[in-house]
Amino acid sequence: MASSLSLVTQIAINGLALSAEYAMIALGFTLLFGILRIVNFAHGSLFMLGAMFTYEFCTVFHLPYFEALLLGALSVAALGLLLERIAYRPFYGRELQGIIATLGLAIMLQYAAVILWGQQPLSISPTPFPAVLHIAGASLPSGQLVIIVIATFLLLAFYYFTRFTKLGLALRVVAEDPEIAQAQGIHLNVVYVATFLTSVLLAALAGGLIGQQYTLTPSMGTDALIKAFIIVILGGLGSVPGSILGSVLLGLGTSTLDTLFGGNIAEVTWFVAIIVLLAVRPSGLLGRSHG
Amino acid sequence: MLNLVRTYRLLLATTVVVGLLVAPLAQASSKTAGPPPNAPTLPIGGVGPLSGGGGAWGLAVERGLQLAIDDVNSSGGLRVGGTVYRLKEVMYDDNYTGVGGATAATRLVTADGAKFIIGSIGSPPVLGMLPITQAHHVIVLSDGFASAILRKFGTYNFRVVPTTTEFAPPMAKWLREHYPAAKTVGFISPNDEIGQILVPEIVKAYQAQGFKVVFNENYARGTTDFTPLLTRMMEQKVDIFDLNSNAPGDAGLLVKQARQVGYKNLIVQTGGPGIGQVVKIAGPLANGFISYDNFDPNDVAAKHFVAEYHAKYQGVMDSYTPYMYTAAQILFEALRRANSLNANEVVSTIDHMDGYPTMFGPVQWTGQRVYGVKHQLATSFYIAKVIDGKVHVIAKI
Repeated sequence: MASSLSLVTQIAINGLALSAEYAMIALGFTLLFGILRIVNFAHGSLFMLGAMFTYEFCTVFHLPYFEALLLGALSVAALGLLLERIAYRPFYGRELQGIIATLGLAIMLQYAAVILWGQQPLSISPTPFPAVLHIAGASLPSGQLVIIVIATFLLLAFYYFTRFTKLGLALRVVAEDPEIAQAQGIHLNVVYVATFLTSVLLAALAGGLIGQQYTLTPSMGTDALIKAFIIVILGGLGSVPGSILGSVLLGLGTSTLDTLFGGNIAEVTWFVAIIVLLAVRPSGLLGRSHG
Repeated sequence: MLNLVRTYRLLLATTVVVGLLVAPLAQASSKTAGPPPNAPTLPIGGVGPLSGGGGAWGLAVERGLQLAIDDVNSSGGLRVGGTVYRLKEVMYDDNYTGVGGATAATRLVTADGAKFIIGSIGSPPVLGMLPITQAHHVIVLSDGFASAILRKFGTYNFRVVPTTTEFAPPMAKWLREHYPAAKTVGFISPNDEIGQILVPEIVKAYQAQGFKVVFNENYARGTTDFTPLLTRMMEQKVDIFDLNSNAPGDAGLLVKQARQVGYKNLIVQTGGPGIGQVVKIAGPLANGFISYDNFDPNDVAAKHFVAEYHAKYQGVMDSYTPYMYTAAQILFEALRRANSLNANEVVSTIDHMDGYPTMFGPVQWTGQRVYGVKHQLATSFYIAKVIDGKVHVIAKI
């Protein structure tokens, strides 16, 4: 009985940690589509750069972890300002061209990372959070607890921002109808740049936070991008509450299926579920159909 | 003002002329220790996993081979059949896959004209390479643990590192003697040749010592989150968690995450090795980790090589590096002795090089009984343990 309880607790803890990771990865991705109608194939590469910059500031420059994380995210955001001008702004509202442009950007960023950091797996060392907590017979690595806490904070902060700040309200109006927003005096370019920067910051922070739990390689963004796609398809492209719901479903579901039946069955189950969902409800659980 | 401009232009022109005169002299003097300037280049292929979890092994091939090539080139080149050759490494990434090994071998053989290859490390890429190299009579000195590598492709192929067949039984025996209370064993391995071919051999070795294997599951390459698998494993009350031949990057994550989910018993690796990388990834969570190792850097014979390595390269030296260096040394000596680039003559020469001194002791080829061909290099191996973040050799077998 005690063993079953600790197994269930461990599955729940693993699932919660995974949900937090997925929410962080997916939030920026769905934000960019919701406001700018861009499916950002470079989202995974920006996530990867956040991890790599954090590694650089932490392991090479020996900064404390949280300083390295923040500097890493800001560095990627600064790079993002340049990328926004040349690779994104020309394609706002043009989905197909945006897809091709961001795909090319993703490949370019990945191979730039190969040149800079090589292909060998790196790790942020010393491990910033080596302690392990024990709850009801299950274990929670402190690194995962940090991810859960920060992800929760970011989601709450994002909710407050979109509900109670002028810029946040402007974002929501632009997402509904850019023409009406412009007619009401909202500067679209300001909103677009703010949205883009927020998306990049979220991706880079996710990379730096999640990277301390695993190893870092230039190709690590591919898996993050696939997860982001699965979550936004589940929850609805452009829907932030949908992304959160999708993250929780995917995180807890993966943890349960992986632990009880193994990774192969979990993968097959998820893709079958997504295909069925797309057939029955193409816009996702909480999404709206886009013309 | 005009005078200043004239003076500047005069100085610039003088600098350029002096530079053009001095540069060839400097180049000539730096090359007097190397092969003659017009020496033909002999490409020596290198194949290894430069990406993914096996990246440390790819670097071992690249760097071990380059150090051996540097030794030869700095001594005037390699004289074969009356011609002095400048050796040049041509290295390709095999991504630790069979397709990658086949692609790398095809490029080396057809595009680069390489007749000799060092590497790869790992059964998947080596098994991918050998059908191509065998067909083109290209000599390969490699390390893949699958026994088919010598049984099926032994003609032009030599294995330069002891394999699971050689070290798993004595290592299981050592564990039985030193951990008498341990009864059960668990394995987590990738779902390719490692999991399908090598793990069954290690399982047999443990079972021969009376251990019971209670968990043996696979994962897809590229997995980074092992917590669900590890959680399943812990339900089976495993006394010894064996990482078998997981690549160093994956092994490091497995150690780290096993400790993070609360696994407290013994973690060993009967394979690899990649203990330096495990320590780098798992940090203090690697303490107590025991691994097969094939190199003791404190060994008297090895110290010179270790110093040479660190003079040229930074970072952790993977313990496969001296093996790849030694493989290249054996190859170059065989070329000198054979005085020919003909594959059959060189193979015959390598076959008769028992007694040739290396940092691992004199060359001794074995394997006739097990593989049907005497192309397995026999060397000692070690058991290492991580204590307070440092790797210590605790036994020599």
